[in-house]
Amino acid sequence: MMNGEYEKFAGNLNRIGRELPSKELIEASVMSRISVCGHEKDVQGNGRCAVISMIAAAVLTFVLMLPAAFSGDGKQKKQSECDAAPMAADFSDMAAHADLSDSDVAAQKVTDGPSISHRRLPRQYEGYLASLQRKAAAEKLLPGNSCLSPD
Amino acid sequence: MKQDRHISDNAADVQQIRDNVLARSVADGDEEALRSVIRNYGDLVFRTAFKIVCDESEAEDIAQEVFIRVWRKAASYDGRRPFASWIYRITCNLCIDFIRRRRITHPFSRLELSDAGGLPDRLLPVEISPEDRVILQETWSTFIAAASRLTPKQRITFVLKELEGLGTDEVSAITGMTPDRIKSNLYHARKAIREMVSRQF
Repeated sequence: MMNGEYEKFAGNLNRIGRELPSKELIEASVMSRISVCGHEKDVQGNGRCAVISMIAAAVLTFVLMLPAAFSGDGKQKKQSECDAAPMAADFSDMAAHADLSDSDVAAQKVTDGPSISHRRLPRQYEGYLASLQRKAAAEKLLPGNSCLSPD
Repeated sequence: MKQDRHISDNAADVQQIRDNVLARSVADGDEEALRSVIRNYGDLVFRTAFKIVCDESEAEDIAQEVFIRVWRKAASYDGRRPFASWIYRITCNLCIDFIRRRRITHPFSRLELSDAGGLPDRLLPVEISPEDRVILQETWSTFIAAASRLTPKQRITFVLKELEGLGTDEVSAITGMTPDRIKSNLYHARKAIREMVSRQF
């Protein structure tokens, strides 16, 4: 094909579709779209942010769930282990860290029912009493702290 | 000659100032300014998109999207560069998006399918002889057959360089391609079109 023919072809091609056929229609359509959602960019921007936030939250949740669902050697824990672990942790923590008075502990026993309180709390409570007794005995033995007069 | 160039430069400067004012008004939310942009650049957007995607209705959709994007992004327009280049850039990006989407939704479709109904009369010049009509119909068929063998960037290069008559620097600014890449794309596009034309005639 000669260069002239190529030029002629390009010239003919250039004569096709030079004008937007339905300019008024396009104009009306664009104007209606921008008037319906005048702040479309903001809406879309916020929408994008919301989607990104949701994805980030899902990924974060998944990552945080991984250590709970898997043991150190990479095998999934048995269901019984997963069920038992939080309960044991809850009650030992409650007794060890919560600053409970005797009445609180008694109330806790009543509300928790016999199955739970009999299993974990008495042992903690006995330990607490034993430590109090040891403390009292030590105070009596110390020289300056004795209640008895030297006489 | 020098005087002609001076007048032409002045006209370009005036156009640039006018476009800057228009872009600023659009950025400020002036709907009448957007109407002016559609009236001034509607044809440019449509003819570019139509030659790249080779589909009239899709080109109209792209034109619509271009002006919506102009409305949204007018504040980001750099007033030192020609407004037309910015419009071309948006158009080309949307055309590439469209072609990629079409490949995903219709992976086995070919461009030739778009030509099934022929070229509508409304896309031909208003005053045209019957003979010219046939020539242009054949030209379009040949172009569609050649374009189906080109990548989107090759098509864009061909349309901007050969049909819109833009310089290499301008095409580079619009598409982000290096001048060497533009030359290479143009070479492949010309080759495909020449082959197709010599096969048909």
